[in-house]
Formats: sequence, C-alpha cells, structure tokens
Amino acid sequence: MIEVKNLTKSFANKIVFQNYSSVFNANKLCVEAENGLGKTTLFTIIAGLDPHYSGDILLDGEKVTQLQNQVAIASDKIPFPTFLTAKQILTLTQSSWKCAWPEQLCEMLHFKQFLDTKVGELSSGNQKKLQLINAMMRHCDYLILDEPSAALDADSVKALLAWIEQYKGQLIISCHEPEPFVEIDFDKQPLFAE
Amino acid sequence: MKHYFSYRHQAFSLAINELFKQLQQFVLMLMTMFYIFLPGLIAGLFFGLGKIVQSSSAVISMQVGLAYLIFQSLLLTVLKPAILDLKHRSFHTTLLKNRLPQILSDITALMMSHLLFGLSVFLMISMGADKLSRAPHYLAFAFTQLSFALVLMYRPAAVIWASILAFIGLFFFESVLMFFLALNALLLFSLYLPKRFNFSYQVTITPWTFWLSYFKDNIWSLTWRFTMSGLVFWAVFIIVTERADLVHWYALGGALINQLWWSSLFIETNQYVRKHQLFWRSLNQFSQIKWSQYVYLIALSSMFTLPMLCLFSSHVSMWMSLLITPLVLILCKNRPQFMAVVWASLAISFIMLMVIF
Repeated sequence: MIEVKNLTKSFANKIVFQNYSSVFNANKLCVEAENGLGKTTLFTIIAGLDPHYSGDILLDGEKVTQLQNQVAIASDKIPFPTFLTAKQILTLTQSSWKCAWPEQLCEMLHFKQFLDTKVGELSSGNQKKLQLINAMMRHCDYLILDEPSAALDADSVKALLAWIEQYKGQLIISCHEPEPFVEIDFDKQPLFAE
Repeated sequence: MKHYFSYRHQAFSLAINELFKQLQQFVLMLMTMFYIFLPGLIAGLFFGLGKIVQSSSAVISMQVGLAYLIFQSLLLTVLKPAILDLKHRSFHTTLLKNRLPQILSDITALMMSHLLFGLSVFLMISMGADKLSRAPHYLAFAFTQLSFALVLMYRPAAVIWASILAFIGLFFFESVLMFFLALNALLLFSLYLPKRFNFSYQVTITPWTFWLSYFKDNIWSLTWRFTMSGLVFWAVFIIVTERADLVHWYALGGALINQLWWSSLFIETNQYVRKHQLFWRSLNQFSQIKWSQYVYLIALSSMFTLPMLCLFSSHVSMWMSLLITPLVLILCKNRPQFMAVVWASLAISFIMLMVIF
C-alpha cells in the first residue's frame, strides 16, 4: 500500500499539489487524470527521484527515506543518455541494483536484437521497451509504469500484460486507454478524489 | 531561387545573432578585463600576418601560418552550424532542384564569417601589387586559408588530418612557399583518408567510465580546448624566447587562461547531469556522477596546465594557480552562469597576491 500525506509540490510559479493526500490500496492500479495534472510528477516523487517536495510518502504504513531502493519506475520523464547503448544502460542498472541480467524480459519483448543500438537511435516503441525492461528487471516490491502501452506494438502489449498478471508486488500505472489493463483486474482510481 | 537565397540570408543572420547572445556574457567579460589590450590584440593579429609575409626565419613564418590555420578552423567550427544552416539542411533539399544554389549560399556565408581571411585581404590591399609580387608565399597562405575553410565545411576530418601532417612537415620544409603549396596537396590527399575511426569496443558503464563515453560522443568540446591549450603553450614558448625575464608571468597568464576554458567544461557537463538527474537518481548514483564529474574536470584542467608551469616556471608558489579550477567548480556549483566572473575574480586576486608577496 502506498500512502501520500500532505504533499505539496510546485514548479517555479505553478503549484501542482497542495496538501494532497491519497491512499493507493489496490495491488494493480491505474491512476486516471487528464494530461498535465501531475500524474508523472507524483510518480517520480513516490519513486524517490524528486526530493524537492514537502509531505510524506509511506510504503505499507512506514515512512521510507530512500524510496528509490524499493520503488522501480519506467517513464518518459526519465531520459536515458542517448549515446549509450541499450545494453550499457541495462548493465548499469544491473550493477547499481545488483540484479540479474534481464534475459527473459528482453526475449519476451523481442528486444534482444536492439541491445547494441544506441538509445538515441532506438524507435519510440523500442525506447519504451527499454524503459520497461529497465524497471521490471529490478523485481522491486513496488513498480510504477507511466503510460506502459504507449508506442508498443500489439504483441508486446500482450507480452507485457502476461508478465503483469504474474507480478506479485504492487503495480501502479497511468494509461489513457486502460481497457486491456482493466481486463486483467486493474482497479481504476482518479488522481484527485471528486 | 531568389526565395532560397533570401531564406538563407535570414537564417544566417538569425543564427549569428543567437550565437552572439549565447556568447554575450563571455565576450563582455573578456572585453571588460582586457579592453586595454584589445588594440594590442588586433595589432598582434596583424603582427602575426607580418611574420608570415617576412621573417628572419622561414620556420617561424611556417609555424605562425599553421597556427593561424588551426585558429581559423576553431573559429569557423563554432560558426559552421550558422554558415551551413545545419539544423535545416534537409529542408533545403525540398526547395532545390540541384545543389548549386546551396553551395553558393554556403560559400557566401563562409566569406562573410571568415574574419581572419578578411584581415589577410586587408593586408594584401595595403601591401599593393608590387610588394605582393615579392611575397608569393603570402598569396599561397591566403589561398590555403580559403581551401582549409572550404574543406572544413564539408569534410572536417580532412582538415584535422592535414593539420597533423603539416605539423610533421614543419621539420622538413625550408621554403615557406613550398610549405603552403604542400599544405594544399596534403589537404587534397587527406580527402581520401578515413572520416572517422569506429571503435567497436564498449566500456562497462559506471559513474566513473560514463564520462569517457560522454567525451567520446562530445569530442569537439575536448578538441577545441585541447587545441587552444596547444596554441597558448606555443604562444608562451615563442614569447619567452623574446622576453626570458618575464617567463614566470607569461607562464602564469597562460596557465590561468588555460584553466578558464577547461573550467568552462563544467557548464556543458553540468547541463547534461541536470538533464539526466532523474536517471542517475533512479540508479541511486546521483552523488557519484557529480563527484566523478568534478574529478574529471580537475584532472583535465591540471593535465593541460601543469606542463606549462613545469616547463616555464620554477616558482612553486605559482603552481598554486592549479587551485583555481577546483575553486571555480566549488563556487559555481549551483550558479554555473557566473563561472567567467568567478574565474576572473580569482585570477586577478591570485596575480595581486603574487605581486604583493
């Protein structure tokens, strides 16, 4: 369970969250909101990537200081260095988090042939696959996938859904076409209570 | 066709204005600090050209000529995106039936930007036909300025090859005219040399090896600093042969200027770190990447400054100037835009301390 308490976050002159509180209970959850309301900002805060906020993030009722140790995230908001190859990115993640090489994930998403391609030369679909593999390979208890099906081909979406079905941790996604996810028992929750 | 030329003119003016805006703070600082020396600097450029026209030693004429060609290559590389309108190059092909108008526009923009060639032309006009006929090597030098500039636009690797080969040639040629003619032949030959080497070896990326890949991808940011360091080293070397009594001060000046552009690498690398900070945080390596950034910058700055101090200055106290780069990095950690001002304040303070003590 992820709990957000009294979150206040602003960019320059724009306040995105002010005393925002919410509980994300469901094990598989799709957070819904229109573009630009702060879904991705909230995700990067929950994943421990943005320290510039006030408020508390609780994982299973406990306040955690190093959120990034327990929460993995895949998002377009986190650009990879374009001159590195996909393999170099995944190796860096592997050594940083001491996890196994994502052989199965690469095979599942038909990504093996692109491992030696530089990030800047990957198509948008393959960049999305790299983001997903990079987050999923960590096998964290909490996983956030921001727009996971965007730019993916139909086969890859199918493979992703199959992987999600057997994932045991808590998974939060944002998605503007949530039907395939709802079909595999995702709950829908609006970002802001009505 | 008229529309295309008019578009290129507009694009060029806009790009040049944009470039000057970006360099405004840096240029303003240099002008404020060195305004007394500006007329001297311009006179120095003419003095250099004079050395090519006539010098007691052919080797000096050739050295100065080659230094000019390398310096013009650096300046024109900065202006190249504006000259060729590189951002919209593929857009041009949608407007044209053949490449001729594009090449004509490129050459026009190149001639408008080539200030050092402008100086040469000015000097040639001042000399008049009679004197010029007695210095055919100077005509060959001016022609080489053009050929280097033109090749730099379309095949920069050939200019690098030719410059390296010309450097070796300095030890073999005795005639200045032959040297510049040979330079053009070398340039022609270099067109057939490889454009780039493909290193297929991939390093395992850590926060420490990451910068090796970064610099491999942004090789230009090292190349121009390396070349400028070489030119300053060369300039100090030539000056101290004339005024050996002031060797410590020239060495110190060279070392301080050297540290300005090596420290300025912080602006580029810092932008990159900021852009990818979420990535590094997601790996829990954000503080490591910042540490490795500082270590690389200090190492590079020291590596290119230390030889100058070792060779030209026996005063160990002057070696303290090596601390300027770390200080600039510490003081500008959160405000890289003030880097030039901080460097200037530290450099002046250091010189004052040296004068007083």
